[in-house]
Amino acid sequence: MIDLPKLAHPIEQRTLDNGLRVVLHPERSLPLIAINLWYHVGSKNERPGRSGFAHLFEHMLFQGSQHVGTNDHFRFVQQAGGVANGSTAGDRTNYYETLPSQFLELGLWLESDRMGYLLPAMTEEKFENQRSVVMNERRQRVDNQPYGRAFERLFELLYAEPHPYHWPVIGYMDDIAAATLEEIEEFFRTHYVPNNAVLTLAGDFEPAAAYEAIKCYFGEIERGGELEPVRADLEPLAGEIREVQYDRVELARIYMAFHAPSLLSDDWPTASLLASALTGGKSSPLYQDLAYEQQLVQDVSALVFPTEIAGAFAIVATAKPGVAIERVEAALSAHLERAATEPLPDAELERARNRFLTSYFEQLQNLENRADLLSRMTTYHDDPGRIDTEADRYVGLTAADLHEFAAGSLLPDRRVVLHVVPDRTDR
Amino acid sequence: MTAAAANRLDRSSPPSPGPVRPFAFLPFERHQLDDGLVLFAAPKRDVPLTSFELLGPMGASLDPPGRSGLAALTAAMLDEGTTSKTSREIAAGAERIGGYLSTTTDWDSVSLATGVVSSRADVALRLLAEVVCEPTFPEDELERLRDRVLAEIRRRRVVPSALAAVQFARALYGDSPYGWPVIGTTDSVSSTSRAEIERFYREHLLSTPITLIAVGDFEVDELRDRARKALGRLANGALGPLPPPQDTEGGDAGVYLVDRPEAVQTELRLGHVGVERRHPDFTTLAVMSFLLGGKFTSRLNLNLRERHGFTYGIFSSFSRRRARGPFTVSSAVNTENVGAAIAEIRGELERLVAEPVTAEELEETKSYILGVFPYTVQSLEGISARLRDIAVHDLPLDHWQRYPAEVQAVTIEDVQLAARRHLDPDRLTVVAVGPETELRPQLEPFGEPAVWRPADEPEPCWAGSGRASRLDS
Repeated sequence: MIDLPKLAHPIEQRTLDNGLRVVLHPERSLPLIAINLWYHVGSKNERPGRSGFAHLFEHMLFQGSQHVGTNDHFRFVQQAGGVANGSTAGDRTNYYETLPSQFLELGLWLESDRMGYLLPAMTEEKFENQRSVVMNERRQRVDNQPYGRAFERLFELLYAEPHPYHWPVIGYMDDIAAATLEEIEEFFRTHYVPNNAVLTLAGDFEPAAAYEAIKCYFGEIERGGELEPVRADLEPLAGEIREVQYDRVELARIYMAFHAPSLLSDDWPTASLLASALTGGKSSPLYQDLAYEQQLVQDVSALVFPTEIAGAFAIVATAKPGVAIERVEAALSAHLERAATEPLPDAELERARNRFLTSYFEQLQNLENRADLLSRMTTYHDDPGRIDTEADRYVGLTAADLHEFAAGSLLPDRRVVLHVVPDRTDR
Repeated sequence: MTAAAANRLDRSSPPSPGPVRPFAFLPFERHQLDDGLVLFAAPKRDVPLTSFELLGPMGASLDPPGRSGLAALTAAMLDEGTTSKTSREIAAGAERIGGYLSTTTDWDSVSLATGVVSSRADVALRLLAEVVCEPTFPEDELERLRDRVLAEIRRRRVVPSALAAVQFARALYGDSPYGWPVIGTTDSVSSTSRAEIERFYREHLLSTPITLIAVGDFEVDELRDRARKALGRLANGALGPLPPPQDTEGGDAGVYLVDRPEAVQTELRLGHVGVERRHPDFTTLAVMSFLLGGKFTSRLNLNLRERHGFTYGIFSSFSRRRARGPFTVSSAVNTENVGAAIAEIRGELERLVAEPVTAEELEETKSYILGVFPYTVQSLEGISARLRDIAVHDLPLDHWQRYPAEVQAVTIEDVQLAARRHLDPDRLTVVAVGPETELRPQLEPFGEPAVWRPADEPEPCWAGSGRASRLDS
């Protein structure tokens, strides 16, 4: 096995009186500072019929706040020589900027203004504009892409209503159209409070001074109400659920999904490593057999989803032209059955483990990724130091652990199978 | 910390910045190891990783007529078998140590890259050297690969951005290498033989100088010896000159409609032939293009996204190529607003040519470019990309050291002059990928559209085929 580097930089966690958790990670090799804010709110906090709201709301957070003009968030960041963005997922929404380090206070001013003083700046006009932008985002990413609706459908089938992973993060078009400005206010007051957020600084700064500045900008924001974690019962799938989706695609594709451990579970690394052991790289057993030997598929990949209250293990394969998708399904099923019957050879495990370790440290080269991972570890585990021990959770896994997970979770009578096939009818 | 110390916080204006900490591009060395091998070595020791990139001049612009995709196919065959290893053994060799081999072919070069923990760097380097020096191009592997490439070409026929790219390239460059897809066409890939691939490799990779770019945690002296040992045999004294950049006569401007009847949005490209990477105006044009469409607060994005809500995003760029690459504006727009969007884009280009930019927006743009520069070179990969730019385009070795000052020196007059010289809003080629029935009436005011129906026709259309007409101005 390859040797295991550590970050070897201090990581410090503190909490303001209003409940805002602060993580400080000085790393001064470049004159850059990454600021990262996680709000523990995502599409799972939405209600049926109101899907897409958390994401639409994220867009509104770039439309200015009481002291920051409409397009000024990006203007201030970009004229400072920084980059900024945000993203919404099922469980969290993040906002981040990387700035030349002399602009630390600018970043704190911008982020604290929209945490504390958003509502006076909201207008119907901005809301309509961003609704239209988001509708175009949905068209561009989902509705106008081949296979674009496949994962949406897969999750609808895997998580029965009213489970909050049932609906897509970007939301349904009708729901996006129905969202109102009044809902912005309620959503903001409930979820965008300091006690529901983690603020991480990574990069070139002096920790004591930075903490004083953070207290100054964020300390005056009032604590919000206590938030109940979202809970949802998840019944095991009653049997195999099958569906065929017709789409304007050239090659048929199969999606197979199972319930799996959540990101917070000790078993998540097991599922993740198994996915990589099965399909990661050209020398992986599924690529070798399905793509190389049998030439049934163009691509095959297994993946686990980093979600909080439930998890999913999925495997996706695209059939080569002229190959029936049923043949691909049979071959995939045979491999999953084998994984559930006998442990993988150690060589497959070592490949997956070394690939994980390398890519884990590759991603940590960027301050932005470090800061985001620190926010994640703090939001979910209240332990930013876990960034240095995370890799250990993978290193200790054995072929028997992977086998046990496969045998218990990848069951043919508890799965969703979705075929996406070419729609040959003229419309 | 200035404002932070105050008792009651004044939020009315942005806090002023602290002292600037200067940034300099990571120092690196260039060594001519022998006639055929150049090493760029940038030691960087904060993460125990090393990346290698082997760069050869075997780019897609060398594809002969009827053989588009030859360079890409040849490059992809390199790791499909060597004198001592099978395809599977090569992949397993890289993946066992946590790396992977990636092959990228663009217009001007082919690149084989891998990244590993430094303790395995020697294994990775020897593997890279082996696939570049001793490929055997096995016939059965070629058939497998050919099948995969043909399926990939087929898959792209329903991807809106891929269709737009194919039609746009053809419209600008006609029937010449920049006008063909790098991946090739069904016809060209089907008919390429093993002998052609082997000859192409011998002519354009085996007998041309190659460059090794290494970034990461290593000793330069040690690496030099290892590189010479692993790659020295490639140079056998029979080196040909670097291929000249291809001559690029732009096609006529025109309006092109790629029909996707089921599309719920329209993929849009506008542009014309631009300049080569080495053109003296390139840095000024880069500044201009950031201002126009290279950042969130660009003129195009503020207009089409933030003012009109026509799109999720819009971008403009000048491609970095050895010959004159395209100037491209790209976006995905909701179909009912395509006509209005084209008019707005053209209006922004006309304004850039007609009026000087303001001092404020030029300063903002320059600050953005300079501030973001260190951000783009945090990782080994980001540094490697900058060195690749120097190697491929034969830029001065201190290019990235001088770059901040060059950007800083760009004036309003420079931008205006560059816009007049290099932007031509009256000769824009327009490509719209979407439903013909809704698009046609919106495109007609800009010129009678030539129509490509990818569901029925394998090839895009272009002016030389007599189907496109000029953009009315």
